[in-house]
Amino acid sequence: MGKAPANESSVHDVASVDELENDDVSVLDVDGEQIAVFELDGEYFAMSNVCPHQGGPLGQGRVENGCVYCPWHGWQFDIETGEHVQGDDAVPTYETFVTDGRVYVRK
Amino acid sequence: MDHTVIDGEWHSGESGADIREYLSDSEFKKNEKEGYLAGPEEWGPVQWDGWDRSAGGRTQINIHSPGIDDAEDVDAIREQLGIDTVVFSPGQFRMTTIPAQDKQVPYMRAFNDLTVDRFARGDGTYYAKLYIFGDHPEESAAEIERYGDEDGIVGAMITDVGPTFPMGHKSYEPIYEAAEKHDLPIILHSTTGIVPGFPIAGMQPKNFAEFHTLGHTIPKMWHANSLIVRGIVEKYDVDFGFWEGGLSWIPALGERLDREYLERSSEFADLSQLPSEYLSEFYYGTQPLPEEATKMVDVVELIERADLEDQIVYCSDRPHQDFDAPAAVDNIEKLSDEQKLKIFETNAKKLFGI
Ligand code: FES
Repeated sequence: MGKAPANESSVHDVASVDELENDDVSVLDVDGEQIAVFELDGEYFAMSNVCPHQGGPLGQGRVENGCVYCPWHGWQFDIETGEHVQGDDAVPTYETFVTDGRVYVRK
Repeated sequence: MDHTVIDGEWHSGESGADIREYLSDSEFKKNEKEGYLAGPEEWGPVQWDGWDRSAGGRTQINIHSPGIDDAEDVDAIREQLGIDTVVFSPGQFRMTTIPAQDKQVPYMRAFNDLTVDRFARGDGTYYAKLYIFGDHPEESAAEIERYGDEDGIVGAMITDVGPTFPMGHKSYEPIYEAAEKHDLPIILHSTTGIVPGFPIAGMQPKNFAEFHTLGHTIPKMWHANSLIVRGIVEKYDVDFGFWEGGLSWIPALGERLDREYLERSSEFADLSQLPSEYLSEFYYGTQPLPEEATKMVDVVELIERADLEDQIVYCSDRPHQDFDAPAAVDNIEKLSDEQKLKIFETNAKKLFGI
């Protein structure tokens, strides 16, 4: 998470801080690509919503021990780095930041 | 290359109680409704097996998804996945666990009535397989006679875990005669339900992972071995499909069979080719495809070496937790467009006659 102005073209508004809390998740469409933004203990993590295995919706997955579990076949991805814990297929991750009470993702 | 996607397996979602509604004898039906007091009403005689298939809730695809009561109930997910045509498999294939042997046949009949009524549309989008019971071959053959020419019925599925004998045994011959007559393929499908038969009894697994790794594959080898050694493959003009066991067991069995055949062919039925060559004539469902991470399996090389290009049928196995989306096939980089066309469309059309 870092600080950055919210007016760059690669920056995308996700939700207000109030809307995205209590381990909630928001899925947004950025130029045709689905990105899932997770709130976890006041921090925000963004990764592609599309599982590299067979395309399962990661935004619907369980979050546990700093990992997202794909709801389709349970592949386990580090929420911060996107790495597949047991294999080589990583999910793209994106930077997030908060400005004026709103959560943004930079792509 | 443009192709449609035919899914050789999507399971219907009926409960034991749904099947019970189709029991033809009203007195038996009434007794069945009132007779199972110890379990949830919807179970009837088909018991839940107690396995957690979701790894502690970490996956969310439910093997007995409620809400697949009719073919059209899968419209939305089918379209999302990019599947054009579905050949349903019976959902309650754990019927082999019905402990009362005298109830198995009426439930099989009721199950097929349900399937024909709700899933076997024959409309270009939805087709279905009948359910047959290995331990009731005469009655199973009668089911093929009864519904074999129904428009939407394109195969007969047998639960290959649970029958007393391997499928080369002579007791199955009425099934093969009926299947040949009606030109219906026999699809072998395992279960990881707890069945008091080979290979489940005695496996003593510690958990689902240890069980599920072998629960599908071993029965496939058991039956394919027997169909070849006992010469069923020569005697009947019937297509056999091996679903849900993966593909990598095929060369392992071929290697052993050929070795035995070359050493003691007198113990085999009269065969006109090497045993492994019959393996190249069976059909195989894709699910579960090898993962890319398993470097010791090269699926394209396997298909080519085992001559399986015309024998493999894409299967999603929805709504089971280990289902494969069409992406599982599309992701295999070395598969040619022509091979994909065959796997997604041509082979299923040929096998099921659709
Ligand atoms: S699609 Fe995500 S684990 Fe299979």
